[in-house]
Amino acid sequence: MSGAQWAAVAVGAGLGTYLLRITPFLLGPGVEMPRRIRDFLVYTSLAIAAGIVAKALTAPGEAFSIADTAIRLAALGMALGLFAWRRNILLSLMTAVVMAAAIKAAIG
Amino acid sequence: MEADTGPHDSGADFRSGARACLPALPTLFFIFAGFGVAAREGGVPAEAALLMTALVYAAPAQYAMLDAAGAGASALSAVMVGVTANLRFFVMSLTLRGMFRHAPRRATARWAHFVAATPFLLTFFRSRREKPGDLFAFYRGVSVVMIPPIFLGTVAGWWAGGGLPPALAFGGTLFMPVYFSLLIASDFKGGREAAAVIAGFLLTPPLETLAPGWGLLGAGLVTGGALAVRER
Repeated sequence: MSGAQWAAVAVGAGLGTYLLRITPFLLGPGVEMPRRIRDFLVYTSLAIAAGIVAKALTAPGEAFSIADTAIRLAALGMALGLFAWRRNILLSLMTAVVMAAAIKAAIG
Repeated sequence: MEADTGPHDSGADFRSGARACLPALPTLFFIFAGFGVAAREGGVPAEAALLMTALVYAAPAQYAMLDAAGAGASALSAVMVGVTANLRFFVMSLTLRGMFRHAPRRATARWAHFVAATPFLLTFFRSRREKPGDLFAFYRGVSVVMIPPIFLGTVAGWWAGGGLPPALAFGGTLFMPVYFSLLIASDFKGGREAAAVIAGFLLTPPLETLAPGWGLLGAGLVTGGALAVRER
């Protein structure tokens, strides 16, 4: 595709995506959500949150690799364990990331 | 999931959102740097890559469009792939709408463009606090802080063309999933919510393999639907 075609793709996909994003906000302010819909959205949101984590740990934009996934899962396990012990998100996060990068650098 | 209607300081909530987003910024940079690299390899000019980031504002869809074009898809097909990969934003906006009920509709329409995984999840977890404050201000704080690393990442990736040290790039991809996991852990309530987390975690990878671009949304809707029905 040429640069102009790529620009057209960006505009088309951007418009379509914006419609998806904005449509729920255009519902009238008086439209109340029933309890069952709210429950559905809470469960769906939590499942999507966990799904984003699972996707990012298994193959974030690349081919699946058992070794890389094992390193990521080990880092996640360390972060959760450290968080359970110290209740400190930043410490747990940084420790896990540094550990994963160090293992990756060591094994290549 | 209800918006707080009591008195609150919107400026403080905006700053709180900005601070909450800081741990996710390195991952956003590396994700969009990866897109920049892939765009250059796919023959996308730098200006068009930046335009995609600005208008689509969703790395997974941008990757999917590159893949489709690389496989010979037409421009229209690439647009369709990008839009369908973003269907999850409809559900996210629907959820956020319940939290922004007291925000002016025109303002929420202006900020709807920034609905994405990070502002959605951070706002969602904030809404579950006892006093969530002004969630729309919080969401805007998250969204504003995200913009620089997303554009810098796209530019850096395009210009570097994959020149980042692999270990650094690898570590960079972990900030967001580990941060989100810690948010889930810090907000853990057990019961059906635990079931939703476990089901989403286990269902998404196989569903993504079966139907690329649909797995995340599919796992979320199936899990949410099943648990909401059982709630009755």
